[in-house]
Amino acid sequence: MKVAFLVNDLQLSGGVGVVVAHARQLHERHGFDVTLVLAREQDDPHWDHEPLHGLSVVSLDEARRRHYDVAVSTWWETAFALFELRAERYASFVQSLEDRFYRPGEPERLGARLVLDLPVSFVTEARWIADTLQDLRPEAPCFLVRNGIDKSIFASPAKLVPHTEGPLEILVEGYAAAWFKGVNEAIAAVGQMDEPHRLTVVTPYRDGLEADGAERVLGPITQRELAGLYAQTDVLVKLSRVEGMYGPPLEAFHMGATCVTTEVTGHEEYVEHGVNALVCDWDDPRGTSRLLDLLARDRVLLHRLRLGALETARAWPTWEQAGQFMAGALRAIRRDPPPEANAALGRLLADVRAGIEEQRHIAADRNLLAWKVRRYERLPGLRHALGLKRRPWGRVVLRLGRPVKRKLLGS
Amino acid sequence: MSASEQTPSPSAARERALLARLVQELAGDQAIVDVASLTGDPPEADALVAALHEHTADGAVIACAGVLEHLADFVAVVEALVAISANRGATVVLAVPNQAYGGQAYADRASAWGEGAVGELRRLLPPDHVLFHEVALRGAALLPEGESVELPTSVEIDPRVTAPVAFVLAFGPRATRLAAQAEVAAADVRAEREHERALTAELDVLRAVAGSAEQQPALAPPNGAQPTETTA
Repeated sequence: MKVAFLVNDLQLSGGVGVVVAHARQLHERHGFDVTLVLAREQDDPHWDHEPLHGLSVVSLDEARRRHYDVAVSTWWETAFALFELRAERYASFVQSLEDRFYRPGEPERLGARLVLDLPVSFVTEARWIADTLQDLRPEAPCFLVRNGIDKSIFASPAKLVPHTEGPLEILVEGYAAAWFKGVNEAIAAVGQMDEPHRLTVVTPYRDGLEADGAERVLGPITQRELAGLYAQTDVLVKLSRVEGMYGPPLEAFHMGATCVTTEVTGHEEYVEHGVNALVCDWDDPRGTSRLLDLLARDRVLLHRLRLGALETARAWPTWEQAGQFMAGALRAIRRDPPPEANAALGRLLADVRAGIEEQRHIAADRNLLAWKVRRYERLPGLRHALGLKRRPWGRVVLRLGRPVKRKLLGS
Repeated sequence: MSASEQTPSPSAARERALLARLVQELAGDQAIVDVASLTGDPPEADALVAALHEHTADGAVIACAGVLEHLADFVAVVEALVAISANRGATVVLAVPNQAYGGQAYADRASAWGEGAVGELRRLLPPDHVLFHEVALRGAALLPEGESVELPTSVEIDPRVTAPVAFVLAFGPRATRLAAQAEVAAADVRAEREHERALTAELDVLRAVAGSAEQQPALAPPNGAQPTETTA
């Protein structure tokens, strides 16, 4: 069977890594002819890394000339190119409800929402997404294929040695620049601990990172190095606000670390409060640090949770098993009739309409705000200061007057 | 040993008996195909699919318990079961364990099963399939010494306070006849203890062997028995 996965790039992290792992399984174990299609022009078209060996990588232009059994979009932006490919069936591999990556008012939010209205079959990696899609699109086939774990890299120890003394080993990981990952919030919560601890921060980029109190900041590192760090870790702290399948705690579980986490989407798949992890409240750094203090003091509880984490990990599927479900899902998509297009179009237009209304409210709010600002700008004093600011000599006067202003305002 | 005979403990015999009774009731006078008896050793998906096509008569009931978790390519068998059910009007009863609460007992299985995997499996089955949770029961009875008694029992089960030990799924023409039921019998605590003792004994011996192996001098020096230079 010929399958095309549309990807934006081949930087092997996060979502793309999952797609490549599935592509490899399909190619190597199930005899699928898999192509990775780059949906946009690449600045750095370099993809000679080991996990891609044996997989065909082509440009969108090249893919347009071919014919596939199933074409699969893997990120909302790649869905725009999906129907440019000639395929018997179209599908979307949904790794998160991606509109949540954007704040209200950002135009991408609408785009990410609209692609869920396309006449495609869905494959998703988390039960909460499958349930949501089933509610949104009851007429569209929806398959569930959870991500596997590479158990040769995240190789669980046969026996877990209790960590009875010394500081609590804590790890915080993620992109600090992504607001919804809560990396800086996690570091801040660790910083409020009373009990002895040692914090390691792992992040591929330092942009926006506030790692005060961290013993070490590492990254980018390989998956194998990350597994090694988890093996030395007692507890992973994750205060994410948006997650899909929520992989990092599961990887930590495999290496015998427990987790303190928010009730983020995805956690319900395998996190059990008091069994393999502790669940903290939203926006509660003090409460989170108290949970960490508890783990630092109560080493029996810590070991119990670590044992629970390891047991959860043992029941989690490998990539080989995940690949079987993906192969089964794609074969079913190819075999069964495609979803009804009219129902999808109706929903798409309704969402476009809702998007227009939303945009109208945003524009109205912005106009109101601009009007209020203009009113304040006309107030005596402020009007004169703003008038000065517009002239070059006025800016000099304002700069010279800054110390006086500071003295008057006491700042 | 066929897959169905590999039981983590003697109490699992009761679970097998319940499933056997369910299948028997569903089949009535129709043929029953026990997939576990068709699996080879080691179980192999392609051979099993061929055997299923060969042995399944129209309208049969296929019992597939203790099989999928032993197969490296279980999806091929699931697809075959779905196709046979559609083409021959067969009813399929599938059972998979919940390994989330099985500790190390399932460490040798080819695939991992739990609520999540069942969620994935369900998407590959016909939409009108039914799912049942199998829960373990604990109880006690009081009876006069040496007397056999038959006691009526009633069990109230709240699924929120327990976790299933296995999942039973069924699809095909007779699947909707599957109903909640329980199988209760006196626990053979002697057999259970004997089973635990056998496991403990095996573990103790293996630990002792591993321990003595560590103390043995290396059969070959670390340099691979190459002659070493000596200094006077």
